[in-house]
Amino acid sequence: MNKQLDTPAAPNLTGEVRGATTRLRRSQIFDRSIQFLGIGAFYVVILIFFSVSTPNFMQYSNAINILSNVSVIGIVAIGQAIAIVSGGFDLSVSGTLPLGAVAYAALVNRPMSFLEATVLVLVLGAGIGLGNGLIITKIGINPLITTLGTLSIGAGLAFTFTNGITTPLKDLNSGIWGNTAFAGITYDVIALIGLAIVAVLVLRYTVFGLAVYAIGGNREAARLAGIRVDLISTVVYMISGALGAFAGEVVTSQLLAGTATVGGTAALASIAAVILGGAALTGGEGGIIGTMLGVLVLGTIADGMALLHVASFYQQIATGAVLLLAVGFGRLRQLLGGTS
Amino acid sequence: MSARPSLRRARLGGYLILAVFGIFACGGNTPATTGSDKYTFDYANVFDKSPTFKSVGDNLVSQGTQVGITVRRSDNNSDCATVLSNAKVMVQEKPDVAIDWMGCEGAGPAVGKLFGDAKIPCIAVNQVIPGCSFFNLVNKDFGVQGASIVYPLVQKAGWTPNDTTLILAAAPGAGAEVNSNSRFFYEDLAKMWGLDMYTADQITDTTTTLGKNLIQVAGQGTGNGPLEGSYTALKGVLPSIPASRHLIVFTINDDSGLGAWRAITESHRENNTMILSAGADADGVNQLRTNPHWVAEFSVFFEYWSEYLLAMGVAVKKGIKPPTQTYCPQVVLSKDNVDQYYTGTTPKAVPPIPDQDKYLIQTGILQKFGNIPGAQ
Amino acid sequence: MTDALLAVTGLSKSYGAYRALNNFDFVVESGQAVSVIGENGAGKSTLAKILAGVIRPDAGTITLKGEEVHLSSPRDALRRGVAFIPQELAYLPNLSVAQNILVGAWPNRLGISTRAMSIAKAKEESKRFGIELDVERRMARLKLGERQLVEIVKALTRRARLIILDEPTASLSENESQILFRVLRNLCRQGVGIVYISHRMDEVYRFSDRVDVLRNGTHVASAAPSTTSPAQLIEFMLGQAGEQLPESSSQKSTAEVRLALGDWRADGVPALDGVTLEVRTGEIVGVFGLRGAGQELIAEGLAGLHAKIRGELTVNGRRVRIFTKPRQARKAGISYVPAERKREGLVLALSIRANLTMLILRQISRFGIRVVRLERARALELASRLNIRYRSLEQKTGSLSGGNQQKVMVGSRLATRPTIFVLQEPTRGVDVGARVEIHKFLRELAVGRAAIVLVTSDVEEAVLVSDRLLIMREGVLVGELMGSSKTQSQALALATAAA
Repeated sequence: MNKQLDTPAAPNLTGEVRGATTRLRRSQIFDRSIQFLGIGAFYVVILIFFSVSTPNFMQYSNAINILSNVSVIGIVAIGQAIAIVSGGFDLSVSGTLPLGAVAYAALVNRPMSFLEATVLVLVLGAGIGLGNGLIITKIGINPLITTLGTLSIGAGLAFTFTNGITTPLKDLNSGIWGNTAFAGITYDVIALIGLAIVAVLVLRYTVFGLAVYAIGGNREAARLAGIRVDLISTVVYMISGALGAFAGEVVTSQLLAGTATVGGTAALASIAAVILGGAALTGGEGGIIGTMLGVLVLGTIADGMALLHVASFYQQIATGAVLLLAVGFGRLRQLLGGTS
Repeated sequence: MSARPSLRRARLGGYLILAVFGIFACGGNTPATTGSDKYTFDYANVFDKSPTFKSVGDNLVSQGTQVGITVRRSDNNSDCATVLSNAKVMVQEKPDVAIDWMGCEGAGPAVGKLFGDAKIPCIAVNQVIPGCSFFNLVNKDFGVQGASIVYPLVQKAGWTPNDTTLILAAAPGAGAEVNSNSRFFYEDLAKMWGLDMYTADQITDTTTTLGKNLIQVAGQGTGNGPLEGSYTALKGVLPSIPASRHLIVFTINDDSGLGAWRAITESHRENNTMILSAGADADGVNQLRTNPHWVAEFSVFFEYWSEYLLAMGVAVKKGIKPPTQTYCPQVVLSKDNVDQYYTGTTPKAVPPIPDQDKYLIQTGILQKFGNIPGAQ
Repeated sequence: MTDALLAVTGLSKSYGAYRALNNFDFVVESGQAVSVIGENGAGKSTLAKILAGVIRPDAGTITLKGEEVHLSSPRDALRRGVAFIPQELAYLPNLSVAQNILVGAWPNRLGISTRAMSIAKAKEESKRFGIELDVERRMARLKLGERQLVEIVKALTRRARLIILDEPTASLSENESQILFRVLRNLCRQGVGIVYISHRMDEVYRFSDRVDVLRNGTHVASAAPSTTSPAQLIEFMLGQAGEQLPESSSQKSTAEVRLALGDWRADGVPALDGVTLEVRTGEIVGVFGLRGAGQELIAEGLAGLHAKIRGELTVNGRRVRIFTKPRQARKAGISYVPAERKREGLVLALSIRANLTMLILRQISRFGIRVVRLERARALELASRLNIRYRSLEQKTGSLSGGNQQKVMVGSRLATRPTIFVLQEPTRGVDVGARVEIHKFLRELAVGRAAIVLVTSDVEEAVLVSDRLLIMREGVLVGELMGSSKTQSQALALATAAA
């Protein structure tokens, strides 16, 4: 074999690359915004539809109702979004939520101060999340089975904890999240917005947030790069658990009673909202704002249909259809935009 | 030229959300419905997926039209979050009277606060809402009367406390009042017959077995409804009971009863079982008539609830204060007395109006339908 | 105690009964570039992973600059200046290039890190190493060669003193490989040590100061390229003489034309600008070119994967429309072996048996139900024909070595008894032993009257296997080599316009 190859002069490859870059970059931004605005545009369509269908929709008090209704699932969805971006997901929120709900009622009835009770509820949720994280990272059982297991345990615990009895709040003022702050807006909405803002900032502007995206994007790569993937994953599940339990506290404050029958749909609804908002189930993509939009879409549809007194069977069908439409809408615009 | 597509996206999203709620804020409020004697009632039903419960709402709408009352309905789906959001919608709509059959035990205070703050007169069905009038059956009577029907039957069949098990397909989480039917059934039958003695208080939501004669399961199911729920529950517990033991199954509604019966027949234990149920829908009454083992059917005459509720609504709107509880018509049907009240599976006669309910006569609503003896 | 950059003594690692590395000694000085070659399963990956801190050895010592170290994790290795660039690039597709370069070490103040910080730092670093990259782009949008460069900058940013690369040019074009080598040579001049794992002989010769050969976990040879020949190296690797294929004919075949392409044109990148060629029965026609020259389109077009090619196509004497769907290609009797076996050719989670018979399900089923007996028979037949090494036919295909996986893929196509075979990069990522066998096999097929189109960017393979070698450049055919003119230097010269 002839080994003395004359290597031809290498052309300036990077120069060509640079040129192509600027062209593509513009269309890249354009195309991502299209995706995002797809859901937003769809939401506007929904709003218009409902407002012409019933006069009760386009009212300030109804807007407040929607926000208050979605506050619980919204808080859960924040935690779920972080979990999904990190490449996992958390089904156990459907167990953590009722557990937090009954725990808060029981604690605050002792009596215990609101602050102390809240902290304990958060710790309880974080503890469950810690369990999830350790099982998933150290023992290696996949997130689906693990969080499904903790879901059952959490929900079951919630029932046995109270013998299935509802615990009304002795002091109605301890249901702070249900109280009105100003202009009809209740504290649960304020909590949701506050938590969402914090989550956005953390995911976008901190090393932790970058690490979460990295782990979701390519766990092995992150590990090879020296990121402590197991630690970060565990923290993510702890956050999701704490938020799930906190959401339970909010439900109890809204109902003015702690009952274990809440939260059954929390897991699927929060995952739906996160995906609706543009996250990829495989991780590494998505964000809080999209998730909030997803939560709003789902909540607005439910509210609108209730105002229209649509029979509940049709509501279920409609919600499913809308979900497909909303995701399809965004995808359609993506396809029409020409790039994948 | 933005160098930060993600930030731009976030800003866009934020503006969008703000704009949306700004639009909302501009909307005014609809005026409350006015009208002389043309009322509008809002009704939130417990669980539309079950035909029995759905019919109450259907009747309210159709009978309401007959007396000049518009009834708007929604479905609570037995889910606490839905109960709250439906209540908020009702407050939005400002009906003359709000009637709410929650299906969520804990939501009473919160719902009551919503109606109270909005000053909407309200009626609570089956589960208490503080500040609202209360319409309900008396669950205890089902249990007590049921026991007195069953006792002679087990004597005639030659069963003894040593070879019989009672399965209570109850509703954990629905509260003590709802479950008093099964618990008093056991207490009374135990007293009469000499079963292992436990009082109604001793049977709680987490009881599974007590003594040699009592097994409790969850007949309610969640989400899938009582039919699936009690079927699954019975299927789960039957294998643990020796096939020779006689069974008395107590179910608290017909879906639950049918589900339980299906489990019994699939396990080939029909000949050894007596079953009681409640609700008296077509299937239930049919079973009472045709199934030798279906021995009692508690009827609360759901078909007549709408009249009572409409009358209550009018009374409340007119400022008449109802008593603590307004009783629904009820009787425990047995094979002996079913023809007295039913033709086929349709009720032909209903028990006379209970004393506590006589205040409704002033409204004149019941008279318009002419069904209730004592208010015709 | 030596002062070498890296000194390894007595390194051993076993997986159960299987000895992956056996008492391995190894030295790399600062500024030295050492290639490690060997067949698959020889222990190269194991060595790389141990040095990178991904796995821990059972025995042996590792010293860096005279200091003994125990590398407990990749993080630990990175801290000590050892960087590993795996064959399957480990990058984060949805983050920007800047964020990838600085992954795990994002610039921050008290945990707060903004995009601007990462971009600024990344620009600074890549300028430092003389590699120009647009650091703001999303990683997923880069071409493979660019991604590789990002990986390198990533390693350098960690102030790596020793860089281990595993098959870095497996998916690079000639141009991109050049850039890589230039960068690596620069680094050597600056004192960085390079360990370079490769299958490609020519690179080993082009690039390294020393070549080390591993066979069955044992270090069997170590020499400077100038003092040894490729044939000798192959002998060391295999324990036997290297690839010898019978000389192909130097005359043009006169058998009937099986396949004729007439004036194929396609827009886009890469483009086709009027390609006309013929393939006769019993011929292996190679199509070689640099990345972007358009030869991939020929293969894809024949496979029915490219909807927008215009031109004429004649198959077995019949004029047909250029295929727009793979089904049409199959119906015409063309069997296609794609370039990316993991993504396009195999279902790794399924058994060898299932993969081998995937394309002939109808033949082995009765009324829609697979007849396992038939399936097994055919699978055995194919496996032995291609000399696939496996423990059991039920083994998951994903657990085989690259070379054996490739053979399974080729086998599954062979099962359809094609008259025309189109292969793209048939020995990419395949060890020398399997490579030899696949080449031999292709020759056998040709003798058995199949017509074969071999599209490859591996010049050695192109020259060795084809009867006639066509060179493409910028969408056109610029040359046809046969017989004595069919050499690697001629091929490269034509492909790069240096002729």
